[in-house]
Amino acid sequence: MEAVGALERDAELMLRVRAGDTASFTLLLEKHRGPVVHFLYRMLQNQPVAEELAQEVFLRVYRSRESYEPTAKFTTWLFRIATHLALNQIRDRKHERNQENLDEETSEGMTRQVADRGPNVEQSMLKDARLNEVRSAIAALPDKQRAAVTMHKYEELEYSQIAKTLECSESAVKSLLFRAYETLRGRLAHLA
Amino acid sequence: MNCPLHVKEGAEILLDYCSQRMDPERAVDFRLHVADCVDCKQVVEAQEAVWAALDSYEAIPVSMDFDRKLWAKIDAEDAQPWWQRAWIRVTGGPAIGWPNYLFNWKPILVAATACAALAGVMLVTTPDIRTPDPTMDVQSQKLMEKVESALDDVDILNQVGVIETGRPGAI
Repeated sequence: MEAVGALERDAELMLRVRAGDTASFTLLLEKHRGPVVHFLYRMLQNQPVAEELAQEVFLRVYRSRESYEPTAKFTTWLFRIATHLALNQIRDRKHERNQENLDEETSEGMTRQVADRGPNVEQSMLKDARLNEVRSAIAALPDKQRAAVTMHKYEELEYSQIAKTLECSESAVKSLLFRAYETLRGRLAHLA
Repeated sequence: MNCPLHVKEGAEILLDYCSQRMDPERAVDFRLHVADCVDCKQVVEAQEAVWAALDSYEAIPVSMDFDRKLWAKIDAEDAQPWWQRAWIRVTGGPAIGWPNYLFNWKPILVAATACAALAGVMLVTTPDIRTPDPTMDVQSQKLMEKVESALDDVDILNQVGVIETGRPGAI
């Protein structure tokens, strides 16, 4: 159980936000802005939408300040909102998404990375091809598996936190993760 | 150590090891097992390759104006009338990408639905004046029966001449 015995720092800040301290909200925003945007970006693979949704996440946090109670870790609550919004977005926009968008985004990413850090064109192309494969493999995972992998691998959330975020048991999370990594092993093992 | 591939908690063991969340003592045991187990070695190597591949998927930098846009949204929401803020709290706000004018129609739509529901409830609960009272109906039926029966009696008495003579049998 991850109930907050000794009040964690984020929960303390949020309680100050509840009392009307806007500066504490700025501190929370600075700390969690990156992880939330990155999580949503990996979920949706679209930067403008990821940022818009991340703003909605923080807007909801701010909006709920008056009723906030530190019953769970702040990050669990935050990622629960983010996951909820991401899954809704995926569901609502599924029919609008098409491969062209993904390709367009990928090529934008390639351009940016070649300019940023490629020591030579060939290495950059290899790196980009690899990145493209990883992105495609993650995108092909079922929504909940993708959310679980993203929270586990990139945000390093505990199983209990992922379980609360996805509203399932810890054993279900482990099973989701195992299946997801099994799929990824099949698709990405050749990149070793 | 039993082979994780053949025990119930195998998924968790492999997951913890590959994500470096396993406690050091168990990790040593597991490494010793992997050295001897071809199947586990294969899985672990593949998982480590996946882990490394996933590392290449780096995070993108957040836009410089992220905070400015967020505060603008917060200020805009604070400037809204109380009922609209309350509505946002109930509904969670407009869906991403929805034009605001569409969202602003929602309260009107809901108010109209509420009015229609109220009208429906009133129609159901208010007694219909056109429907006759069932108890009244029974009473009037009994009265009608009594009247009919009295009229029948008068007919019979007429036939036997009781009414004209006042005596039975007299014609």
